[in-house]
Amino acid sequence: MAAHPSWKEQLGPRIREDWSREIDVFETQLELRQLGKIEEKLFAETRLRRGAYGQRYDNGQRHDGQSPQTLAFPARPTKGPGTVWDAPGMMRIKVPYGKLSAEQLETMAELAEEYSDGILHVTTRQDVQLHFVHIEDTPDLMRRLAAVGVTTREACGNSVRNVTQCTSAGVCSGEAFDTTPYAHALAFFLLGHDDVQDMGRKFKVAFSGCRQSACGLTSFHDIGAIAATRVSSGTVLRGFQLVVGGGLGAVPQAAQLLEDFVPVAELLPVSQAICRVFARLGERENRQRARLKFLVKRLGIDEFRRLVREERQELRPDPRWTAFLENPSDGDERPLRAAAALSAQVADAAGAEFARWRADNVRAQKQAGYSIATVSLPLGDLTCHQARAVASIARQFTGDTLRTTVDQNLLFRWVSDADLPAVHAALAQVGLGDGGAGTIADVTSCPGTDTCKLGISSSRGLSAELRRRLRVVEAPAARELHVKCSGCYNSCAQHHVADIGFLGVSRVVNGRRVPHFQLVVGGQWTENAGAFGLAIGAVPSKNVPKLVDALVARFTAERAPGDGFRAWALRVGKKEIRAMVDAHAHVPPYDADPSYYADFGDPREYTIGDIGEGECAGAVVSYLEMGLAASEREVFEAQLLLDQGDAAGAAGRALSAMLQAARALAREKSPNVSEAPDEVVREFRAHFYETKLFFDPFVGGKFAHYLFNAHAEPPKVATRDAAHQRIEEAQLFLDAAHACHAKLLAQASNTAAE
Amino acid sequence: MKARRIELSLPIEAETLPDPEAVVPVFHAFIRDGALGEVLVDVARYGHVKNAPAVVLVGHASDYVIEVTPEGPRLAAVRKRGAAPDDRRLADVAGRLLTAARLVQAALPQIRFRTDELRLRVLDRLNAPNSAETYQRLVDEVLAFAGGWLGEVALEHGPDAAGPLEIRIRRAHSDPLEALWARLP
Repeated sequence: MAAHPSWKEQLGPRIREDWSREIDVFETQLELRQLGKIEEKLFAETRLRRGAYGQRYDNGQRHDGQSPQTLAFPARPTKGPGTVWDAPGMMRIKVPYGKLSAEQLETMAELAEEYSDGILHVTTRQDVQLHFVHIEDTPDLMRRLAAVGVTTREACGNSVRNVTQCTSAGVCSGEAFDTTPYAHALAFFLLGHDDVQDMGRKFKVAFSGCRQSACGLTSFHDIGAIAATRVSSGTVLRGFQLVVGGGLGAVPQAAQLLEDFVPVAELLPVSQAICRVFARLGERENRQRARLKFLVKRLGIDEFRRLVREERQELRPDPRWTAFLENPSDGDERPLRAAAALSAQVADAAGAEFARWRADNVRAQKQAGYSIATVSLPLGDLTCHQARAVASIARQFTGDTLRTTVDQNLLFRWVSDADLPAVHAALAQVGLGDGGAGTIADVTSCPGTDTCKLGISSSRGLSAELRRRLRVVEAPAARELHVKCSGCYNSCAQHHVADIGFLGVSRVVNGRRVPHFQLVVGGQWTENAGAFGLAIGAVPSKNVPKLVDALVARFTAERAPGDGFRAWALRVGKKEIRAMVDAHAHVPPYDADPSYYADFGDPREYTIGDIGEGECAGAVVSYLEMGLAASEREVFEAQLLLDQGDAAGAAGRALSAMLQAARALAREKSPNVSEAPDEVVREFRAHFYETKLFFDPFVGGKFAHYLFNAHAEPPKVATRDAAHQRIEEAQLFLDAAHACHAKLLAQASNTAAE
Repeated sequence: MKARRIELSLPIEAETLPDPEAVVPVFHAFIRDGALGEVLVDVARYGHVKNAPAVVLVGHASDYVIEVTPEGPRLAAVRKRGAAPDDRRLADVAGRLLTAARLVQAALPQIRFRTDELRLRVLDRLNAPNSAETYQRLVDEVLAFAGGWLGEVALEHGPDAAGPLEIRIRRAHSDPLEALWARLP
């Protein structure tokens, strides 16, 4: 066969010159790393900023359920600290504000087929991810994307991540105006900008067309831009309310109001000024406190605002700030086909499946005769064949109006109503005709233990099971609930803003590890994610579906007219919900039912060894378990106090819970430690912090600092928000104490074996 | 065959594998036991996706896939890297496919493979774009290999013009795996 030109030669003319050069440079860096001429940490950050991320087992270790095994990859220089060169990784593809053309989706399908495992995965940040990609394939993969106008630059690493936006922007009747041109302009203005190359941590931006809906989720972003208008001298002015310093992660924080109205011409420079202040003053040493939310909290919003305004005045003028306003290239999406009504007769003839799909997945646009049609993707996944089919449907019916969504679906905009049956039929032909979008069965999940290095429990396994069971829920109020499952405390599935959220944890029961999930309730998806829920208690993974069934049944039976889940949960009270959790918390002995000791979809005996912590079964440390149980109780009591409006009491109880757990651990090393807080902290610090026994493999001593900080500086006046945060921290401290307990068991077992 | 990534697959009699999840513990055991003599990394499950690679045994140089399509389930071997010389690529992937199939069948004796229709997909649009010209270019090589291995075969260019280049290799009858194994070049 004759040699073909390389992708670089073949696609060169189609790729933007600067993007082409960037990819060439990256390819050279790969070669230099293999020659040992680039230090591994530097190379790791370099590849992250190109979107090439690590994946589970990339340290070359895999626990097979019995013991850790070394994967015999070729011996070559690493691609980062503890990261094997040949281990497969994840490629994150940025899709600014979720907008995709048919050609771009087709290209991604080809890449999934040729470099990945044949599956495209839509994320909660509107990105597309490919898994099991070899690092040496990434330059060509990037070139093929760049040739269709897609970059992976700054998809990971300490950079401005994908800019997200309501998928209804421009077609929603509730929006102040279409935010698309502004989201587009800001995304590409900040991409590669000098002022965002030196940030201590990642930075996330979201746009919303209104305040009341969920779509933009601005409250948990570093910058949230909410469309607003003002009338001045009879002229309607466009602008944005800007909120800053929001974030989920281990301890969520709501964004605070920076400016009530920033005129559109000021959007880019003010955002640039925010980034500069963050880059200059943000934490750089302690990665766990480096997000903007910590800086805003440390400075206070007033001082942060003052600094941003000062910074704005010092910026050198840039024509790009306003150039896009003269010729907005996006936001002027046009339909491919003429608007036409769907007659009742044709709709009826399309059948029951179509009716179900239409009821769940189709919403009217503000433009008469057109609809938005959501393609339900189970757990955000679709095959290459399905992706090509979706692209083909777009070409036939809508043009390049595809969007990825934050709840991990795809959608078409500008579907002529008369075409809805044909669109559904075409989707159904490739297995994508299911309804259920946005319903309780449309469960959101992060990758969890399937592919994520940080995953503790199988969020995808659980979500697949919940999705299967919840399809039969029919009560209208229950069908509207949002269920979200994260595999750890990092909240990638956004469990804090779900009606029913879960985060993966592990517990030692009967001397063995058991996968668990913490139930989180009280979150609010609407009003741009208007409230964050709190963890109520943990149940073994295997019991989560039954717990969800019980919660849904009780909510359906007891809700007052108009109650959403949050309102019902507040009315019923956490004590009642905790009792439901407790009723599902029992783990049978291993011999009676070993299935509890494995995770969903994984036949291996459960372990967290794959996140870098060795373990094996050992003797139960009974006093310690009792102490941890007491601490759990205190965390819960703190929540009840908070619900009763006693913020100071709640904060105090949360600190007490941490002390309780710390003392339980400290007694393992220093049996005579008293209950005096100073002594508990001193002993805990000496035996568990300074020895790093308490350290999390990824965040180090972060959770111990929650105790140290709370102990050192009890809040003078406890606000509700401060108490809420203290409770979150106590919960995380407690989970870390459970992990530490497992380490002690492992040590005891090893000693016995010797 | 000059191609980065090639895939060869065999159909599974649908009634013998009603739930592809049954293969998940088998693939995990392959990793644990080093059963395929190559670096195997993980098992990916996509049973929640319709018409998908339902279970993927991901390796460093090869993947093994239980695929479920409207045409029925199949087992595919995908050779990704560490490839044999160009003139041994087809034999190499065929050997890996048969090795995996025999081990799957040993672990799950109820599974029956059909050998009357193999499917070759060339997952490399740079070296083998899906076109009539590429098909014609490859057909002699595939025919020579498949004929030598399987006896009389008929080749057919796969129907999906948007997908990767696909060649269906049809035979009049379905032999047991062992017969194919014995004749493998």
